[in-house]
Amino acid sequence: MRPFVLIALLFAFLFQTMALPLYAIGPAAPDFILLLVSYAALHERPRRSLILALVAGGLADAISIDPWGAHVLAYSAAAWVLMGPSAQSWSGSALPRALLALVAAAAAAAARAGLLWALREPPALYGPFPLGSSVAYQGILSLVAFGLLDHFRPRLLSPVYRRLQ
Amino acid sequence: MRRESTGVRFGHLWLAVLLCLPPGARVGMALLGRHDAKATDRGKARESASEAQSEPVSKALEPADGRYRLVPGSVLPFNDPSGGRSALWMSLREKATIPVDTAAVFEKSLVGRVTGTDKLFPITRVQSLLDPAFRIRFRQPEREAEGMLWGTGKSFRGLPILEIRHLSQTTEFEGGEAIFTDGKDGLYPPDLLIGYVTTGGECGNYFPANQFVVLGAVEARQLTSLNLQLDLHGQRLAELLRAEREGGRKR
Repeated sequence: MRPFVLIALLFAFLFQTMALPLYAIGPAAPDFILLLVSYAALHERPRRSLILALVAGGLADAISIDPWGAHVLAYSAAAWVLMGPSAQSWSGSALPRALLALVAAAAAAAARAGLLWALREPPALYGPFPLGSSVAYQGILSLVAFGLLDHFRPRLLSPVYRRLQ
Repeated sequence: MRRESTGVRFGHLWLAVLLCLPPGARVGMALLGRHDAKATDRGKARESASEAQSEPVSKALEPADGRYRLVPGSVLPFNDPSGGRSALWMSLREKATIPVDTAAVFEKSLVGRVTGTDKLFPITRVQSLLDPAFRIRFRQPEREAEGMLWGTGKSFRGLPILEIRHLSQTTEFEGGEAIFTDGKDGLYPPDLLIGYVTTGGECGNYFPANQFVVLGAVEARQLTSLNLQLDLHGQRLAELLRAEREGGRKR
C-alpha cells in the first residue's frame, strides 16, 4: 500500500471519528472511509482496492461498537461492486462516478444491514429512511470528495496502473 | 492512453473546499445564539426537576455500603465510525479493571454502559443512551411502574429519546416525571436518574403525539468528564466464581 494511501486513510478516519456529527443532516451521515474505498475501487487495481477495503474495514470494526465484520463486509461489498471493468469504464466523468459511489454506498449499507439483521441487532440501525438518506447523501458528497482526491491521484494510485489509464 | 477528464480544475478546488465545510457547522454557527438561550432554559428546568428527585439519586451514588466505587475519566473527542451508533471513548484517570456493563454516570444521571476496555491503555468505550441497541430496566417510584427502555437513535435538542417497552402495568404518566434505574437486572445500580417522561408530540415527530417516551437527562455529546460506577460486589463475586471454576478444573 502506498504511503499516501495510508495518509488519506488516516484523514478519512479522523474525519469519520471526529467530525461526523458536523456533517450529519438528520439521520443521514456520510462515511468518509467508504468514500476513499470507493475512489480507490474506481481508479486502482482490483486487488489493491480490495486490500484497502479489508484494512479499512478491519480498523473501523476495531473502534466501532458494531459487531466484528460489519465494516469489513460493507467496504468489501462496495469495492467489489466498483472494481469491475464496466464500473471502471464509467469512472471518467463526474456524474456517473457519483452515481457509482451511490450504488457502492447502497451495496455497503445492504451488506451491513444484512449482517446486523442476521445477528438480531435492533432494526433501528437499518431502517429504510436512515439508510436511504445516508446513501443519497454519500452520492452527493462523493462529487466533492472525489474532486478533491483527483488532485492527489498521481500519489494515490500505483504507477503501473496509472500508466495503463 | 486515456485522457483524464474528471479532475476538478485548480480554480474549482476552492469551491470544493467551501462545499466541504460541514453543513452542521454552517447551520450551527447561524443558530448559535438561539441554541445557547434554549440550552440555558433547559438546563434550569432540568436542574430544578433533578433537585426535587435528588434524594434517591444521591443515595444511589453514596459509596457508604462500600459496594460502588467511582472511577473518574475524561471523554475523548471521538465518535463511533458507524452511522446510527452512539458511543463515547473515555480516558480513565486511574488504572482499573472495568467489567463490561459497568454504569457510566455524570453527576447523578446515567449516561451509558461500558462495552469494552483496552488491556494496555486506560481507555474505555461507553455505549450511550442514544444508541439504538441500548436496553435498560427502569422504575418510576411514584407510580410503582417498572419496564424496559429501548434506545432509539433519535434525539431531541441533543437529549436522547428512549422508548418505553414491557411496562409492568397500565400507567398514565405525567410529563416531567423522573425515571430511575431499577437495579434488579444486576447490571446497573438502582436509583440512577435516566431521564424524564414526556410525550412523543413534545419531542419531535418521531413518535405518535400521545405516546409516552423518556427524554434522557444528559446530552452525552457535550460531556467532557464522566464517572464509571464500579460494582465492587459484582467484581468480587466474578473473582470467586472464576476461582471456583479454576479449582473445579484442577480437581
